[in-house]
Amino acid sequence: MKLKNFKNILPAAAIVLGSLSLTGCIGDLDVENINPQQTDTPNNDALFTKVYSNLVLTGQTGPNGNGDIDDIDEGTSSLIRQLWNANELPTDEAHCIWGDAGIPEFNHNAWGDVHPMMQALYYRLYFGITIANYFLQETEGTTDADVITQRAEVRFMRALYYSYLMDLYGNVPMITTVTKELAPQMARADLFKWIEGELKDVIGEGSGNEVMKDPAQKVAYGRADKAAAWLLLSRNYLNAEVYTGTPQWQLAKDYAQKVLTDGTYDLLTTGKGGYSAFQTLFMGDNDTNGAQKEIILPAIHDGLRTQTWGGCLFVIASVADEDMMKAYPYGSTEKWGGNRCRKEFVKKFFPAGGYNASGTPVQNTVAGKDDRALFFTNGHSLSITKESDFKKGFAYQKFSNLHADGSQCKHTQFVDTDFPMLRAAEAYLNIAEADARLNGGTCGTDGLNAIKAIRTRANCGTNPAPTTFTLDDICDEWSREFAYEGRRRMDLIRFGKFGGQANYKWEWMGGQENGMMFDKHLNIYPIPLSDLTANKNLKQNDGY
Amino acid sequence: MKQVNIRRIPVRLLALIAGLFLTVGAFAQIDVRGHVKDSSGEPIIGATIRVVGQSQGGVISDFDGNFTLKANQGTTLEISYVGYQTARVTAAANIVVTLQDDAQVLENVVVIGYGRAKKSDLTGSVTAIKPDDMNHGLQTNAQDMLQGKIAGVNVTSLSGEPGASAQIRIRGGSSLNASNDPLIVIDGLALDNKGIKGSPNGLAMVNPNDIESFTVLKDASATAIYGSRASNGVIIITTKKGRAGQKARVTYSGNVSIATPKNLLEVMDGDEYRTFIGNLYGTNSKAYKSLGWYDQKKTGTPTPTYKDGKLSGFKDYYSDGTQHFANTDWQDEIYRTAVSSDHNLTVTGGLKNMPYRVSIGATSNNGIVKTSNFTRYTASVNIAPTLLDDHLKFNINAKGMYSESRYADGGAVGAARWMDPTKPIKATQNDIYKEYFGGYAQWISDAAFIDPTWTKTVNSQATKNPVALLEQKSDKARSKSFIGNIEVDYAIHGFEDLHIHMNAGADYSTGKQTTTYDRNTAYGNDNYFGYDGWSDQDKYNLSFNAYLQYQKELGDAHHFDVMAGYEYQRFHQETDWDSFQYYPMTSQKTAEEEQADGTKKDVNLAGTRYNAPEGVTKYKTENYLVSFFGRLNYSLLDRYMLTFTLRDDGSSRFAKGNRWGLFPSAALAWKMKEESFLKNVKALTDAKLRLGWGITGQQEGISDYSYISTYTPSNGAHAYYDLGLNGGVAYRPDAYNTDLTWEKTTTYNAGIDLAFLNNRIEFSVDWYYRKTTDLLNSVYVAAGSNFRNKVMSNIGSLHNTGIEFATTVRPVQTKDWNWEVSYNMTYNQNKIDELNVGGAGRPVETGGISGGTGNTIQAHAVDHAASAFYVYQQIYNPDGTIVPNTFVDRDGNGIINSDDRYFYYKPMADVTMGFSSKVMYRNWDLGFTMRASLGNYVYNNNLSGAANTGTGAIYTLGYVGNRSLDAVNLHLDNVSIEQQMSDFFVENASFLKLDNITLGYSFAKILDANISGRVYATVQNVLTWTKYSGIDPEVAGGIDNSMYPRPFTTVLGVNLNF
Repeated sequence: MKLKNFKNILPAAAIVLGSLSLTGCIGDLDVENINPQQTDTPNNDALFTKVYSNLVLTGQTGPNGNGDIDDIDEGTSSLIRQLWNANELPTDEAHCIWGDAGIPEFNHNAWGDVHPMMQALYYRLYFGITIANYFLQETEGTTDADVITQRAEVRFMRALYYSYLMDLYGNVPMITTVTKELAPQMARADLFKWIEGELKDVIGEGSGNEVMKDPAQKVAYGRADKAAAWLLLSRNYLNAEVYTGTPQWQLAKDYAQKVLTDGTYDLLTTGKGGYSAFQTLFMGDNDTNGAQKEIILPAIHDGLRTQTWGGCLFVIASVADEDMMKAYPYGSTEKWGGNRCRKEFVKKFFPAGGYNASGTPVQNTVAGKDDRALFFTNGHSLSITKESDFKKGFAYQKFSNLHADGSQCKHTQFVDTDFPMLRAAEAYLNIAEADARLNGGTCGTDGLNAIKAIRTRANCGTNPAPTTFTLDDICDEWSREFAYEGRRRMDLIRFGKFGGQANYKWEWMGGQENGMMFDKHLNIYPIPLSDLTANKNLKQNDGY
Repeated sequence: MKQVNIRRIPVRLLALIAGLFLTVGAFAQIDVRGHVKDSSGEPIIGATIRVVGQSQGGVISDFDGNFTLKANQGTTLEISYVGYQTARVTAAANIVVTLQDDAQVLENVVVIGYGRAKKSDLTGSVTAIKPDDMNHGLQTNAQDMLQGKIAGVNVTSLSGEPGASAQIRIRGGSSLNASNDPLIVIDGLALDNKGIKGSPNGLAMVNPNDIESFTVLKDASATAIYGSRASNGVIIITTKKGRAGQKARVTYSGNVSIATPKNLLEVMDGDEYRTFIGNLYGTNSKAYKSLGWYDQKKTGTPTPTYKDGKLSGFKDYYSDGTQHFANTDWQDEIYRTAVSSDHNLTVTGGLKNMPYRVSIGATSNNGIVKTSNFTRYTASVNIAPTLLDDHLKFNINAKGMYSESRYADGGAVGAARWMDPTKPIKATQNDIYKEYFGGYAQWISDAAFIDPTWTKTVNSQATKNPVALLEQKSDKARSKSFIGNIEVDYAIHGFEDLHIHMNAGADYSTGKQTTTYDRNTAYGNDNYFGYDGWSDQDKYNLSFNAYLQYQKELGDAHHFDVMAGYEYQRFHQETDWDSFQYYPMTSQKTAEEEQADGTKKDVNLAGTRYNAPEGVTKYKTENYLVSFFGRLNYSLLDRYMLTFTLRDDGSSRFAKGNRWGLFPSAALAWKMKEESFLKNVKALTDAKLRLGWGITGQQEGISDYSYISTYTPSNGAHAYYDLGLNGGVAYRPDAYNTDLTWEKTTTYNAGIDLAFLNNRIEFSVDWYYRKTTDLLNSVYVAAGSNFRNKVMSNIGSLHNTGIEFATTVRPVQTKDWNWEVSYNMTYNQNKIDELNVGGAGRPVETGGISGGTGNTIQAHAVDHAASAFYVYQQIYNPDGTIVPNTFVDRDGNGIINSDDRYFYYKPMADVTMGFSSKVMYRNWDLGFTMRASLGNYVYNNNLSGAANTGTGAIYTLGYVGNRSLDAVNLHLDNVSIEQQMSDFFVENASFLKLDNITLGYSFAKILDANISGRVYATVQNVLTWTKYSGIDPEVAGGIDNSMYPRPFTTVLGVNLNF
C-alpha cells in the first residue's frame, strides 16, 4: 500500500468512526419494559384484591380492555356470567335466545369437549387459583398478623374456586404453586377431601395459624370470614354423595347451623322503600340497605368503579327488553333480551296457573302469594314455542339496579348491585334438605323450621302449607329461593333430576321442544380439550 | 440523475476525467463546436464526445452542455452519456446533439437489498417496475401503483374510505398470527409501514408522483439479506432524483376526480316496509305503532310515578300525538357524489455537481359517505451531491407529510341499511327528538331512573339514525410524518474497487384523533351526555446501516462482489388517550367530595366530567434490532452466477439466548443465452434459469416485552375492587414466555426468464415453495402454569406453494403505433401442516362475524388453508331452497353442535391475474387494466345477519329494523346461530374487474409556449363480473360486513412540463 493513500482513507475512517458512535451497540437489545401501565414492583395487597376481584372484573381496565382470559369476549369471560350460564341454561329455569357461541349447546344439553364458554369458565377459575397460589408463594412465612389473615382468606377463595371446579368439571388438575410443571389430575373425591382440609384449616379446625376472622370481626365489606367457609363446607357436604359417593348429610347440617348460631348473618326479613325484604337483597344498594345482614360473601359491583359486561349487569340486563324497561324500570338502560323462563320454573310458583298474564313482577308476587314470583309476563307467553323469540317464555326480574333507599343509580348502564356468592338463606335450605335426607325423605322439626323461616320471609303464607315437606318440595324450594343465582344444575343433579333420567323433563331439554333425556355423562362438564392437550397428565371425564 | 449502477460510475467517470487531459492528434482538422442536450432540451454535462475509431482522446461537455473538439471534417463523432443512448453525428463546425433516454439501460439496473445489480445478473426472483406514467388509475397511495401489476403480488384496498390502507400479500401469507405484510424499504430505509393515527396507510407519506421505481423481492435468496423482517417479501421503493448540471425544470401534475357510489344494497322502501310490518305483526301491533314518528308535545313537568307504592319512574309528560310515516332512503341520505383533487409540483435540476429535486403535493380526497374526507400535503427534497472526484457521493432525502382526516362514523354504512325507512331524518314536530336528539328521529328509551331531569335516552340496542351519526359526530385526525436519511457512498481513493456505504435515517410521526359527539347524540350506548375524547400516537424509528463492498475481476472469467455490513434499528412508540362525557347541566346528581379542611361535602355534578379515565393512560413501548449481514456474488464467464447471503439478526423481543437468528440464502443462475448453443439463435434475445433457497425470519405480531415478568395494575376508572386496600387497585401478574424465538420461513424458488424477438416478447415463470416453521402462535398452556390461559409460543408450520407467470408482449412497434400488453398470473396454495394450539386436531377459530358474541366463521386447521371457512352443512329442499335450521349431522352423534362444522373453501384466491394493455398512436394513448381473482370465497355477513325476517327478529328490544330484499326473499323466520353459520352464506366471490381505462393525449407545446405535457381522462372501478350476490366480491379477509363501498371514479388530469 502506498503511503499517499492513507490521506484518502481518512474520509473512510471518519465514516466508520461515525457509524460506531451512532450505533450504540448490541447491549441495546437488553431492554427494560418502559410501558408506564406495567410495573415490576410487587404489591401484595393489590394481588390479594385481584384474588377477590376475579369474581367480578374481567380485566385490568374495565368493563373491557386488557382482559384476563384469552379466546373469549371479555364481558363473556365473567365468572358470574358463566357460572350462571353453566348452571341455569341447561336446567328447567332458563333458556337463552342468543346465538352467542356456546349458548345453544347450553340450552340443549348438547356440549362437547370444545365449548368456548365452558372453557372460559374453567380458565377463569384457574386464573383465580393461579393468582391465589402466587399470593401465597409471595407471602410465605410472613409473621404479619394482617397478612396471615389475608393468607387464610386467599386459601378460602382458592377453595371456593376449586369447589366450583369440583362441581362443574369433576376431576381437574390440582396445583398450589405457579410452576411450569404440569399439574397432576385429582379425582373428584380427592379434591373434595383437599378442599375440606383447606376450609377446616382456615376456620381453625385444622392445622396452622392461618385462620379467618370471626364474622363479627370481619375486616371489611367484601372480604370473607369464617361464616363463608362454614357455608361452603356445608354446601360441599350437602353434595358429598355426588362428589365422593358417600353422603355427609349430618355435616352439611352442622356447618349450616354454625352459620346461624353465630348470628352475625341471618335472613333479611324487613324490606325498605316499599320493596320486599327478598327484593331488597338483589338491589343496587344491597351493600348498605340491610342486605349485608344476609349476604355472607358479596361479589362487589359499582356502576362507576367496578364495571363489567358480565356479573350482575348480565343477570339484570339479559332478562329484560325495552317493554320491561318501560313498564318496570330496573335501573339500567341495558336490555339484552336473552334469558327467559322455561315453563317448568313458572310452575314452581303457579302449579295450576293463576299468574297475572300481563303483569309486572310485583303484580305476580301478589298473584303468586310469594315475594319471589317476580315474573314479568306482559306480552310474554308461558311456553317457549319459538327459541329465537324473547317474548316466548316469561321474563324473571329478580335483580335490579334501583336503590331501595331511593338514591340514584351511579351509572346509566353499569350496575351497583352486588351479587351474593353466599347468603344465609342457603344455610336454611341446607338444614332443611339435610334434615329431610336424614329423616327418610321428609323434613323433621329442624327442617320444617328452616323451610318456614324461608317461606315466611317470602311472605308465602300457606301456599303450599309447610306442614310436611318432601325432597321434591325442597328441590322446588331451592328453585323458588335461589332461581337465577347460578346454582340450579348442582341442585338438580343432587336430586337426580338432571342427566340420565326422563322422569323430570323441561321444555327444550335435550334440544327437543317437549324435552328429551340426555346422557348422564353431561352431569360433569368435560375438561376443555385445550387443557387436555397442554397438560399430558389429564384424562378426559367419562363419556366425552 | 437516473438510477444507475453506482459501483460502475466512479470507474467510468474516472475514465472520462482522464480523457480530458489527453490531447487529440491533428491533421486536416476543423474546430467542432457542439451542444449536447436531452429530449426535453436540458443541457447534458459530462457527456463524452470522441471520434469514432480513435481508442483514445475525446472531450466531455461542460456545464452548459457545450464542447469544442478538433476533428477531421466528415468523420463520425460518438456522443455518449450514462443513461442515454449513444448518438453518432458527422463532424461539422456547429452541431447540436439530442440524446434519447436509454430506457433499456435503466431497466437493466435494479435496486436490491443493500446495493444494486444488473438485471441480467440477478439470481433471485426479483421484479422491478417503473410506474407506468400513462396507464394507471387514480393513485392516491403507493400501493395503488402495484395493484395487478406484478405476478405474486396481491394488493387489496381495504375499503373505499379516503385514506384507507391496502393489504399487500406477496406469495400468500407466511404466518398465522404474526404479520403477513411485506417489508417496505424506501431509499434504503426500512419503513415501519404500520401507519400512524389518522393515517393508517404507512405508505401515505410517499407521494406516488415521487416514485421512480419499485423492486419487489419475492424469494428468500433475494430477501434473506433483510433477515428477520423479510418473510413476506420486500418492496423497495426508490424516489426520483435530479441530475448533475441540469437546468431547473418545473413539472406540474394534477387531477380532479369525481366519485359516485356504485352498487348499494337494495332494501325495502318506506311503503314496502310499512306493508311488511303490517303483514307480519298486524297494524294494531306494537311493532307497527313503533313505525314512523309522532308529533309528541311536551305537556307538563316530570312527576314521579309509583307502582305498588314504589317509585317506578317519571310520568311521561309528552303527549302521544298522531303517527306519521316518512319514506326515507337512508342510503341515499348518507352517500354523495364526491369531488376530489390532487396537485403536484416538482422542481428538478442540478446545481453543478449537486442534483436536486423538490416536490410538493396536495391531495384532497372526499369520500362518498358524507362528511368523510382526507387531505394530505406531502413535500420531499432530495439532493445528491458528489465530491472528491466522484469518490464521495451523498444522497440526502427528506420527506414530510401532513394529513387531515375526517372519518364518517363507521356505523353509518350499516345503519343506513337497517334504519326504519318510515322514520324521517328529522322531525321538528316531535319534542323528544328536539329536546334530546338535536331534532333527529331516533329510537328512544326511558332513563328517568338515573336523572329525573333527563328522562329519555336513545335505545342503545337499536339502529341509530345514520344521518345523525354523521352529522352529530366530529371525528378528526391530524397526522404528521417525516422520514429523512443520509446515504453516503465512498469509493476509497486508490482502491476504487472498495466502497464504504452508510445510510442513517430517522422516521418520526405523530398523529392525533379528536372525537366529539354533540351533547344530544345517539352515541354508543351511553349517549345523552355527549362525548369528548382524543387519542394520539407518537413514533420514532431510527436506523443506521453501513457496509463495505468489494468487487474484483480475476481474469476475464471470474467476477467477485463481496459485501458485509451492519444494521441497527430502534422502534419507539407512545400512545395516549382521554375520553369523557358530561353530566347534563340540569343534572341533580351529587357526589361526596373532600374539602380542603378535610370535611366532606356533597357537590352537584351538573356539567362535570363523567366516565373520565383515571390512572395511567399513556402507553410506551420500544424494540431494537441489531444485525450483521453479508453477501457474496460470484460469476463465472458471465454465465454462471452464484449468490450467497447471510444475516444474523438480534431482536430485543426475545430473551437472551433465543435472541439471535441466522438467516442464510443461496442462489444460482445460468444465463443460457450466453452458451454457444443458444448464442446464435436470433429469435431468442435472452434466456436465464434461476434456482434459489433461503431462510427468513419473523418477529412481528408479538409484544415487545413478552419474555419479561411484570405486573399490570388496574387501570382506567372502572376496574377497582374495593376491599379497603389501595383504593381497590388490583395487580395482575403478566404472563411471559422466555422460550419464545423466531418464526422461520424457508423458501425454494426455481424460475426461468425468456425474451424473444429483441424483447418484443418476454416471459418469466417461477415456481416456489415456502415453508414456515415455529409459527408464532398464542398457545394454550396448562391451567395454573402461567398467568394467562394462552401464551405466545412457537408452534406449528404451514406452507405456500405456487407458480407465477408474467409476460409482456409488444405486438406492434412502429413509428406511429406502439402497443404493449402485459399479463401476469399467480397460482398459490396455502396449507397448514402442523398446529397444536388448542388441542390435537382442534381448529383454531378466527374471523369474527356479526351475529352473536364470540361467533367465528373461519378456522385454522391442519391440512386446510389458513382462515378456511368453518361452517355447518346446509340441507336443501328438492327445489333448492334451504331447510331452515337443518344441517348434516356430520359426526353422526344425533345432535347438531359445533362439532358438526366442516371446512368449506377459503377466502384466499387460488389464482389471481392482472392484465393491462396500452396502445399509443402518435400523441394518443389508450390503456386499461384488468384484474381477476379465482377461487376466493366470501362469507356474506350482510345477508346472514339479516336473514331472520320473522316475528322474533324484526321487532325486538323495542325497535324495528329494515332488511335487504335478498334477505326477505329467503323467507326465514326462525334463524338459529347454526343457520347463520351455514355454508349457504359462503359464496364464490371469484371476479374479473376492469379496474380502469385511461385515454390520454401528449403534446410538445401549448400555444407556442415551451410547455409540454399530457392530458388524460380515466375511469376507475369500471366493471365487475362475479357470481357473488353481495355488493363487491373483493373483500380482504373474506367476511363481507358493511364495508365502506368502493366508488366509481372519473378522473380528469393534466401533466405539464415547463
